[in-house]
Amino acid sequence: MLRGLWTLTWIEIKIFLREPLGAFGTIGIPVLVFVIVGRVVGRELAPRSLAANGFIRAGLPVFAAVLISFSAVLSLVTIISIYREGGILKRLRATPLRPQTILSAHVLVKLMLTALTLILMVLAGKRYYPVDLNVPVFGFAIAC
Amino acid sequence: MSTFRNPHSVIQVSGLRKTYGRTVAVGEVSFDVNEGEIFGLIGPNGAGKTTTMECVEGLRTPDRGTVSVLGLDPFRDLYKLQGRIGVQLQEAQLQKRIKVWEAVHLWVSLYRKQAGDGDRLLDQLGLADKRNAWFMTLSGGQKQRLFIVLALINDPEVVFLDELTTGLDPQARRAIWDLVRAIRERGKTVFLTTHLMEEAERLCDRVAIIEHGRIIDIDSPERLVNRHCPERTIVLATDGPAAEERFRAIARVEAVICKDSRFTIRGRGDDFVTEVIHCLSENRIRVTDFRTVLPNLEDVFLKLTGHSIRD
Repeated sequence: MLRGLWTLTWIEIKIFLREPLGAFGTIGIPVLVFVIVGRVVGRELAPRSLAANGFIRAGLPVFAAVLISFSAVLSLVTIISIYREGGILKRLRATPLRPQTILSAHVLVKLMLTALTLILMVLAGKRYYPVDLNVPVFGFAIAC
Repeated sequence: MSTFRNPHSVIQVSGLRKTYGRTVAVGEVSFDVNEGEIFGLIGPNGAGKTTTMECVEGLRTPDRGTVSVLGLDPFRDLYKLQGRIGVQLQEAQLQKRIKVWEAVHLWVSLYRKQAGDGDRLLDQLGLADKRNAWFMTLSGGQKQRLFIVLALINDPEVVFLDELTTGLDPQARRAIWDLVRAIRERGKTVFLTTHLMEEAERLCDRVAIIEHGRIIDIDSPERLVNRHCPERTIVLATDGPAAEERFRAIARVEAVICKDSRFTIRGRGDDFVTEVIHCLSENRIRVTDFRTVLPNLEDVFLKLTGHSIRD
């Protein structure tokens, strides 16, 4: 039973967005790096070399998935550590809120923020990234 | 401590033991908490108060012993129990940027049974104007009051309060004491820990004195004082001639110390003060100051353990 899951998830999203640096670092910086790198090296990738096409078609989604997984695990571990150190986890444990609900809420928050970052990157890519591959965006997002 | 089980007890602890490695945090602790009373576990820091309370709440698993709260086993029936108790933890925190109303809303969403409107509780505890404040911006007293609101949100039958007023100024402390009394007046049972003897004396119906993980004695503060510290002290000022001689003649007097017309008279028994007053009246001794110094729980603790609770 995941009583309180949606309330906790919604509150955690709001808390996350109240920390401007954290929110910018998680959502803004990946998009910014994407745009800058795309503008700098994008022209070099544009020639239809087999190697570049291969990387963009097969390597890039895997690379993105690995990076997102790393970031998700790291931030989950960090958040849970902060909650444990600060006595927040203990306070929540003294309620009917179960550990799996707390973890699920944070996974959901991370998923939603990653989805938001991906959407922004796809939008930025359409505008700035010169490679046009007709990528299946939905399938790519699900794969990530 | 007897093994007699009171049918009105809502908490029953028997032979509780908890160790961390070689350190014995709690060793063979037994006590009952009766329905509708404020029961205090008192002792210095590190005596085992919090560990005992957390074992009773089901947050820690004891090595040995049995615990029953409202007829439930806190380890087997933890989630069922958590719906019926309210908990305030020592040095607990919430997310720094959670708003007061959000914390209340989250807690409300966790329980089937609710005390009613969370806003009403916030209002009762003087936090209505802090509804939109972040947790990190609240003062120590406001945080403690918010924790009380959260502990009461499910209309609990038993409320656990761990070192509730530590670090608060005297005014905030007194306000919190009034709140705890109000909880009892609503028919709830309160189980609290404190290392503040004054707090225990003013709030608790019964206290258990704990040191080095063992309970030394359990009773009401008054009975503990009467049992362990029957001495009474009277301090008075008089320049009446032969006063010292008259005081020494009082039956229950054990010591008379005179310094610059100020007398400190020590004796024991409930009638001691009456007898001193009677002596003053009978001998027409004029006094310019008179006060009685009664022993308190701090003196009891000192007598039972051989050291002050602050040591």
